Amino acid sequence: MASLTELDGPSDAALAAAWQAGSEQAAADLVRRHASALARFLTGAGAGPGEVEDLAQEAFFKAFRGLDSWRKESSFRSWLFSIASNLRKDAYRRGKGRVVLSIEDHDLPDGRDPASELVADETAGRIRAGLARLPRLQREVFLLRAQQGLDYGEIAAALGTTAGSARVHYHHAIRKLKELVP
Amino acid sequence: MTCQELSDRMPSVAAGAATWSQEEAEHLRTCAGCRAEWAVVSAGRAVGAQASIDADALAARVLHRLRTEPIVRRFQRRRWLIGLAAAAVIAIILLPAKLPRGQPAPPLAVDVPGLDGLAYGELADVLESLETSWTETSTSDAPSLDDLDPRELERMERSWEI
Repeated sequence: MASLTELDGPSDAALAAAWQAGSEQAAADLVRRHASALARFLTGAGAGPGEVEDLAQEAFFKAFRGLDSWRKESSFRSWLFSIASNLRKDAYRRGKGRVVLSIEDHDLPDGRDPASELVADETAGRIRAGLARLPRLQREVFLLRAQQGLDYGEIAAALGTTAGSARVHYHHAIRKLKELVP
Repeated sequence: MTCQELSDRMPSVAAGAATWSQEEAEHLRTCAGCRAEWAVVSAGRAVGAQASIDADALAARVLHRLRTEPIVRRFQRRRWLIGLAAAAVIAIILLPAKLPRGQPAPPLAVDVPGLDGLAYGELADVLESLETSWTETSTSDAPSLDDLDPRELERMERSWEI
C-alpha cells in the first residue's frame, strides 16, 4: 500500500534503493515522510513524550541498517511500525515501558458547536483512557486501523500476526471502546 | 448495507479518503451501534495528534548515527556463546546413552547459559547446530529447521523462553 505522501515524490522503495546506493538525502526524505505518523502511532501506543523521540530514532536507525530484510510485500511504513512495535514491546518487557495517558487536549477536534465539541471532547478523553487499558495487540491493531488507516493485511505484516487475527483484535478493541462512548 | 460493511469503511472515511454514500449515511443515522463505533473510530483517528516531532532534527540524528556507529555483528561477536550452548545441548543428548542400563536417566531440565541474550540470528544458529547434533545421533526423520519460516522459528524461540 502506498502512503499518501508517495504521491508527491519518489516511492518509498525508490528512496530506500537510493539510500542503499549511498544517498543520505534519500534516507532523510524517508524520515521526513514517516516521522509524524510514527510519532502519532507511538504516542497512541502509550509512549511518553521523551520516549517517542528515542523510539522513533531507534526505529529509523534499525530500519536503515536492516533494509535488506524489508520484504516489499508490505509498505515501508508498516514495516517501520513493526520495528517500532517491537522496540516498544522490548521496552515494556524490560520494565521501562509504561502506557502514558496524555492530559493535553491538543488532539481534540475543533467544533463550532460548543455542545458537540463538549461531547467530542469527552469521547476523545474516554477513548484515550480506554486505549491505555486495552491489551497491547488490541491497542496497536486499533491504532493501525483507525488512526493510520492500514488494511488488515498490512496490520498483520506490521504486528507479526494474520489478517484474520488482526480483524478479531480490532473488533474486540472496538467492542470495549464502544462501551466508553456516552 | 450491513453493519460490517459500514465498519469496514469507517477508517477511510475518518481519514478523509472517502465519504459516506447516501445509503451509508442513512444506516448510520438509524443504527445506534454503528454510530457508537463511528464515534470511537473518529476519536481514534485523532489520538496522538498532539505528538510533535521535529522531522528534520530526527533525520539529522539518524544520519549521524548511521555515519558514526559501526555495524556490529553480534552474531559473530558471540560465536563462543553459541558454541557453548550447542555443547551443552549435545551433552544432554549423549548423557543418557552413557548411563548404565536400569538406572533412571537424570532430569533433562538444564540451564543453557545466555540464551535469553541471543539475537534472532544467533538463536537460529544455535537451532541449526542442534539440528546437526540430532541428525548425527539419530536416524529419525525429524523435520529440518530449514523448513521453518521466520515466524515458526520465532515461536520456537519463545517456547524456549518459557
